Amino acid sequence: MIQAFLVALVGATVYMESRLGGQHMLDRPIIIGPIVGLVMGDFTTGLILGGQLELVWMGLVGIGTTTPPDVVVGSALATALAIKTGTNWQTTLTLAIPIALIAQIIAIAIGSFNAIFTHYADRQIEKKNWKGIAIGQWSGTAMLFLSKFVPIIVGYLVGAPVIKVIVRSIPKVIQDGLTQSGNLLPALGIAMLMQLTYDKKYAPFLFLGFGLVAFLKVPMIGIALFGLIIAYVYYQFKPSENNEEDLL
Amino acid sequence: MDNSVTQKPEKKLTKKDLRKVMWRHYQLLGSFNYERQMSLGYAWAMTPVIKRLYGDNEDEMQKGFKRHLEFFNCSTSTSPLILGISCAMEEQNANSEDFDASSINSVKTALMGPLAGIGDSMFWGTLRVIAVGVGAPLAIKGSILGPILYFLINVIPSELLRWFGFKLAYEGGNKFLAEASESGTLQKLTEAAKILGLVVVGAMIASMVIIKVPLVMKFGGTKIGLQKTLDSLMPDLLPLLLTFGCYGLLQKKVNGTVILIGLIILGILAVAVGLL
Repeated sequence: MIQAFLVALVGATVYMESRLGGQHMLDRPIIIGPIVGLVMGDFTTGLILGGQLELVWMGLVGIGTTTPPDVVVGSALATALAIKTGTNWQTTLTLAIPIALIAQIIAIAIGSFNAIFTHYADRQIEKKNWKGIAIGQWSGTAMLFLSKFVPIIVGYLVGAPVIKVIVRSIPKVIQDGLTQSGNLLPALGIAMLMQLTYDKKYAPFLFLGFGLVAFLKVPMIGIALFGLIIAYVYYQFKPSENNEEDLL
Repeated sequence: MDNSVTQKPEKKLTKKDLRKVMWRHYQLLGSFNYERQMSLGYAWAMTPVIKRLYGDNEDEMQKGFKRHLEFFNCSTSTSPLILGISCAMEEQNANSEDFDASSINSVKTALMGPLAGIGDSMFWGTLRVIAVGVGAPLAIKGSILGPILYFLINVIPSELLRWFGFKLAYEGGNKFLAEASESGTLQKLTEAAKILGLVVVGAMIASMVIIKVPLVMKFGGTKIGLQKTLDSLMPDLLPLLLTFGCYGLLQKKVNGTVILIGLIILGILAVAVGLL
């Protein structure tokens, strides 16, 4: 029980580096492995497993809003179970995958759910209660911490067979639906941003950016380049309000 | 434009305020969500600045918090550059009556996409891969140097960029803003920033809102994919409509939380009926 707690604590704490520590890409098997090894009483094995799992999972990183199979939960559990049972990592990895899958679904659900705290902060600021920012911020953090801690501790305690049954019992509609919801939500965030910056006078510029990506698949850095050129041209040809000589 | 000395003492951020912003920037992802992404983290990071500059005026303080609760998403390693500029602009805004506060968000928006691209490819794409290449083989041989080198390769360049980038952006931003407001070009620059910001917002609609309809319709013997038909009409048409739909609802003062819950239900329902 204490070991389960410690392994979950290590996994969730290392994950927190990416949420509270500036995301230096440290919530990875190569870091989690040795620390889990330490609390399981076999540092060297943890270190080696961490290195091996890193090579297996190096392709899986979350960029933007895509949620990859959960590397933190998967590697913490695979390492801990391998040391506990004395089997190789290939075996425990296949045991850890179903749990990492559940953790992934949880991560997506939390990613949508946490928006509640931003709206909470909105309401508090509306009431001039400045503490709303900190409360919203740390509530979100607590949810993210639990989203790793709980799957790891439960996974460690109940073991792989039970987890497999649970995974099968989650309706596919809910799993896929949550992923799709996560893909739709940025529309609301962007719409809120538009409330500040968008008006009809400038509408063509928004559609220019949209069209460059939709039709031509221009990457973001290219968008910045085209945007800069357009803004520069505009800047050059619009006379300054109080001084015509300002034109270069 | 009147540039004469005003009665009010100039509001200035202290070194300590700026350091606080930097320490708080590490928590940008602390309350991450799919909707407004790092917005709460950004407001959290800007809190010392808002309190220092608008502490004597509750309405201005409220506006400040609202500004920084807007959508934000970037790579954490390149965000200090944007935070530095935001600090400089807030300072200008607090001291100058005719500063257009909406330009603060325009600049944020214009920079976040491109800097996210640069940060992701530099740190996710390049340094992390180098760090794995150096660290993992060492770890597999049982050497503690593996994780240590992995740590150092990921942390040191990123930290240097963050702290120097922040300083550079704040000081450069300040100097630039002072000169621009003196020469009267700030107004034009504000509009230029707004344009650049909108180009990036448009690009975000097409790249961040993802809707792919798997539905295939059969007409006699021919099968027609709905997504293909829509794409031939205009790619990413649905993300555009959805975003403008949300915008329209917000303009009609529909509560954001209601739209949020609506979108989550929409996603699940659409999968249930096979639309997504």
